[in-house]
Amino acid sequence: MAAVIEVEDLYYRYRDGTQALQGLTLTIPTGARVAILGPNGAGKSTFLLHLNGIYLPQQGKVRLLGRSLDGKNARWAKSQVGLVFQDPDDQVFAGTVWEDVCFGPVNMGLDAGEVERRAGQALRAVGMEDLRTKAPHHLSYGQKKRVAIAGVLAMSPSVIVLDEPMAYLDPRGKDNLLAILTRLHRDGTTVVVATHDVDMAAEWAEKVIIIKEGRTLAEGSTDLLTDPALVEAAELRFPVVTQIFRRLGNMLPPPHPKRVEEAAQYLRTLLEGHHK
Amino acid sequence: MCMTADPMVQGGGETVLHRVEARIKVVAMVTFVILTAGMSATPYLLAALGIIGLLAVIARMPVRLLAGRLALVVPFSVLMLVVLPFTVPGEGVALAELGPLALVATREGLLQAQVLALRLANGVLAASILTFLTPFPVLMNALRGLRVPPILVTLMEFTVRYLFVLADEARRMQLSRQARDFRPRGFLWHSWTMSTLAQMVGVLFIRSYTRADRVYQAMLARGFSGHQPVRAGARVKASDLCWGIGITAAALTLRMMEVGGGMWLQLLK
Repeated sequence: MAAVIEVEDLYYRYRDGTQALQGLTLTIPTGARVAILGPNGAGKSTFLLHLNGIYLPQQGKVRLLGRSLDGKNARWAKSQVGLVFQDPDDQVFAGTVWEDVCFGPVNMGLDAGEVERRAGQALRAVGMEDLRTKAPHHLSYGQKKRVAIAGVLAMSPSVIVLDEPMAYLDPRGKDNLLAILTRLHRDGTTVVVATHDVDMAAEWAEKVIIIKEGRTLAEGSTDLLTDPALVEAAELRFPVVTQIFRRLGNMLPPPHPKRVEEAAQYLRTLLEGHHK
Repeated sequence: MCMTADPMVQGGGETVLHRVEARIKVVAMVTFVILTAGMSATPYLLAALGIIGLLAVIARMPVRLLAGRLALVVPFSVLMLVVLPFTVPGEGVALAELGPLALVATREGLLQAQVLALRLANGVLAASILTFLTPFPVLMNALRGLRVPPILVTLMEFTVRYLFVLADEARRMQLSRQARDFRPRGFLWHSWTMSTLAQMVGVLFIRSYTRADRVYQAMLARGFSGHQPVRAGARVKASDLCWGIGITAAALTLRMMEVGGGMWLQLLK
C-alpha cells in the first residue's frame, strides 16, 4: 500500500522553548484507518498541525502524496488533509451551520454551485441537513461535533484527521461518529484519529502509531496494544477485552484477543471444543 | 455565504416587513434613527415614536419583547434622567430635600431629560424592530453587502458566537466554585470574595485568548486567507424600495417639519 503521508525525522520547538517533536518518523498508508496514541504532551497535537501545513517542519520532512510540505504548497495541503479539532466550539465559528460548512469550500475558491453541492452532501453525510439554518450555540455537543466534521468533509480531503473524536460524546454519539468514520473509510478516505481511547483504537484501527516525547515509539498492527512492555512505556493501558483474558492467565494461551468480536470468536471455539 | 436561493439571505418571515430585503431594512432604520436622534421637539419625537409603534404593529412584534428591549437600556439612562433635571440651570419647578441638601429641579432640566428619554426610546426601539425583522446572520450579510468594513462585521459575528461559549464557561466555573462552598460575602471590602472573582475574570480572559488562537488555527486549517465573501443578497423588488423610502421619508418629513416648524407657524399668523 502506498503511503499518503510520510513523516521523516520531524522536529518542532515552540517559542517558549518546549521541544514538542524530536525526530518523529512515521508512515500513514493510503486508505487506512490509523490510530495515533500517546500520553498527554507526547506531541500529538503539534504533529497534527503539521499534517496540513499550519505548522511547517523546522527540521525534517512531511511528505503528503509524495510532495514535501513547505510554505508554497501549504494551501494545497489544506484541501487534501482535513483537520477536525477536539473542541467543536473552536472550529464551528460561523453564525449558522450552513455558513460554517460552506467556509472551507469558499476558501478553496470554488464557485457557488459547487460550494452548495458539497456543503449539502457533507451535511447529509453526518445527518445534519435538517439543522442547516440553526445557530451553533443552539446545538448539542454531539451535533456541533458532526458539523465540525461536515465542515471538513465539504473540502473533499483525501485524508481526514480527528483529534480525540470520541471525547465527551454520549454512547449514541460515539456510535454515530464511528458509523461516519466507517463510511468515510469505505468511500476511500484515509482516516487518522489521535486518541487516548485504547478500546476504540483496538476495535477500529488497522494501524496503530504510538508516540511519546515527540518520537515514534512503535508503529504497526493493533497487536501493539497488547504488548506489555510497550503499553507500560507508552503510559497506556490494555484494551478491556485484553485485560479480561490476561486475568485468566495460564488457562488461556496467548495471543489474547483485543476486540469484542475476536473475543466472542475465541470463546466460541473454546466452548465448542469443550462440549465435544 | 454561498447560496443564491439561500434561506438565510432572507428571513423568510411571516409579515410583509419581514420580507423586505435586508439591506433596505438596515438603511431605512439607520436613517430613521439618525434623523430622529437629532430632533429636540417633544411633539415630533412622539410622532416618531408613533411611527415606530406602527411598524411594530405591522411586524406583529410582541409588546413584551419591545418592553424587554427598552428595559435593557434603563440602567444606563436612569442615572442621566435623574441627574439632568437637577443640574441644568433654569426656572425651578420642584424641590427635593435630602436631609440637609435641597435640590431644585428646573423646567429646562425636565425638558432635556424628557427629550433625551424619547430619543433613546426611539433609537432602541428602532434597533429592536430591525433585529426582530432580520435574523442575525442575515443582518450581518446585509452589512457586508452595504460595504461595512468586513473586520467590523466579523467582530460582531464572533462576539455573538463566542458570547455564549464564554457565558457557559463562566457558569461552569461558578458552579464548580459553589461546589467548593464559595459564596460572595461582600463587595469591595471583602478581599477573599474580590480576589476570587478577579481571578475568575482573569482566567476567563486567558481562556478566551487561547481559544481565539485555536479558533484561528481551525480557520487556517480550512484554508482561511483573510477575507469572507458576501453572499449575494436577494433581488431588490419595487415593494422593498417603497417600504424603505416610506420609512425614510416619514422620518425626513418629521425632521423637516421640526426645522421649519417655527417658520411655518409664522407664515400662518
